[in-house]
Amino acid sequence: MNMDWQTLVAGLVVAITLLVFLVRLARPGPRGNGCGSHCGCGKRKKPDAPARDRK
Amino acid sequence: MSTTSKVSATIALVGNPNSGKTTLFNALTGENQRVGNYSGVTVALKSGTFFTPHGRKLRVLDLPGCYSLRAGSPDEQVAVAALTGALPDEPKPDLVVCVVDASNLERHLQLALQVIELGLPCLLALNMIDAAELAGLRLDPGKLAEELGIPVVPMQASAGKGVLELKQSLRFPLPHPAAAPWLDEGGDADAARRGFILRLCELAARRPSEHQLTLSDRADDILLHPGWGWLCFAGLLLLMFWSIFSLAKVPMGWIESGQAGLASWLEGLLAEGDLRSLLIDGVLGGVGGVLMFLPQIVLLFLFIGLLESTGYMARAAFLMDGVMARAGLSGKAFLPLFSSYACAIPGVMSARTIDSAKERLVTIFVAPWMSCSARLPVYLLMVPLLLNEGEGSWRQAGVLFAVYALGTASAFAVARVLRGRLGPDPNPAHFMLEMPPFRVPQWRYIGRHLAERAWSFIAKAGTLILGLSILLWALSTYPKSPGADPSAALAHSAMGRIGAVIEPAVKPMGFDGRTGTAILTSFAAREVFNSSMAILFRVRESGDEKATRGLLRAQLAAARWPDGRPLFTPLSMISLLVFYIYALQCLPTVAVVARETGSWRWALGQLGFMTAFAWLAAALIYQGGRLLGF
Repeated sequence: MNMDWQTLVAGLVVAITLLVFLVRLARPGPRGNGCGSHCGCGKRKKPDAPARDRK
Repeated sequence: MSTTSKVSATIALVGNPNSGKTTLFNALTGENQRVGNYSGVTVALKSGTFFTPHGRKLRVLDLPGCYSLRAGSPDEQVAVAALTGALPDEPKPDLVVCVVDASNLERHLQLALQVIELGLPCLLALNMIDAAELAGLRLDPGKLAEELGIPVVPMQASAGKGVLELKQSLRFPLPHPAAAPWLDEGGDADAARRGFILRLCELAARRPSEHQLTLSDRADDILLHPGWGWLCFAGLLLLMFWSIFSLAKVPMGWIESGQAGLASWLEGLLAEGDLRSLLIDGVLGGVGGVLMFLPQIVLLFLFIGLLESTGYMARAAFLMDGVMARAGLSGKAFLPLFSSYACAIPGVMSARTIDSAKERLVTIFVAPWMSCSARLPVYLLMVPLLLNEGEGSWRQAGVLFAVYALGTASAFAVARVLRGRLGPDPNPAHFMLEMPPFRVPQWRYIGRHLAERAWSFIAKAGTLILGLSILLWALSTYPKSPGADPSAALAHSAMGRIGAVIEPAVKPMGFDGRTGTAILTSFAAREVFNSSMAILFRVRESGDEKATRGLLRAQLAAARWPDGRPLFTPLSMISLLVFYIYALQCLPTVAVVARETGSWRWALGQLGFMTAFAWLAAALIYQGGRLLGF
């Protein structure tokens, strides 16, 4: 069966999208503060380490 | 000037609720944390950094507001724990900035004195100096500093006045305050503080002998009136819903024209084929089906921002206290519930301000029934279709108002049942509401907040919704059928087969497999429903704007069951709206509920209950309506 170039490119786009979803689902790691960034909760920043050696 | 990137000290901003701590935090750090003219906006610890004019890098903590160091609610406990160094991973602050409302010193100084008694280096930020001057107060910051034994900086954080002076005074480490002289008299500490504050205000914050009615007081005569107040409240909400439909028409037209132009360009560029179909039907149809509602989402947030910023929210909470009491809740639960109209997640988090653990649990449980902005695109798609007319009428605003009212009334009914089952509180908490004066909205903050929300919406459309649209297109296209009939092709595709499996579960609600599949995909994000419908019903943007507007609605109106009956009747559309009012299709909300309640059982129970309730309510309406001959 001959596949035209449009079918190939469309298939590639779908495969990459699927791969991105699977990688994001499987990737362990911090999930932020659990509320995403679209609800006004903001992203949790890494705090700066306070210096303990104050003069 | 040399600057160091190392933080040299940690500063905590502490004060009564609505004293302007977050406004000061934003002014110091340049951040855009949520602010509002009512109590309990900040419920969690926030941190940021800034430099003093002399290059000293300081870390600043914005603590939730509290009235005293005897913590009651979870947000107050966080503030007290941060001050005493009891928070894990958070060192005791090196300096405390007590933020007080200069127009309300008698009450705000109570907490400031308790903080001074802790013995930490302390500074008093005399905020809202403009409001104090307007009320005719004669303030003497020098005398205040002398009597309290700590530096006092007058300021108006919302306008950036006094912020530089505050930074200047932080260039050196401050000494620990002297022992609190007001405690020397012995006896009850609270009475000693009250006596000291009265004497101090006589010296350094004299009020005019006659109380003058301000414009805010006069407005309250109407807005808090048992009759007029409710009328104004209902009028404001109706105006908000009407604006969402009518004012957004122009920018929506621009977005639609842009999409149509892009679709025409792609049609001219690419020959008929899979890639063209993916780009036009999948990407443009899916993402465009959500993106076109951006102006309406922005309008909703603008209204909520205005209500929060002016101080009307506190008035609404006051009006609602009686209604909330009938639902077994207090007026304190109103603010988290109202916040949930924007998004359930900050609403659930705001429930930390509620003292009673049982009331907090009930508030968290019903919060997702306050229709959030993610449901809005679905409502905006269905309401004009239900009324069979173009966008922008008062009738549509009325239906949208009814949709929101149904969710709210159901939430109150369930709260009443649940509150009754949980039993009374061992220590009943009383609702105390601070009525802030009306203020001019902080336009700069509202503008930045709207831009942030709009960008988040666009980013979501460009990532999650784009990805899901591509996958949905693939599922609805492959495997391909040998014939050219679009209905047969969809039935042959993977999506058609999934729809056939789902159909028996959604048919009692009046939906076919395609709508069932769109509902299933919207568990990732509710807005995906519109994208899925656009892809499944094969909506293409046309070059003509008039033809493009409501094309999906036209496709839905033309959709038929295999026996020729229309798929979307008024009854099935009401059933769909009811399903979306009640279904909890938001996994981040489930995760936040589990975190806030400390119980996955509670969160999963809520998800199960709301999904089952949504199904039952929609099925009852559809089947009941059919029995009645609709």
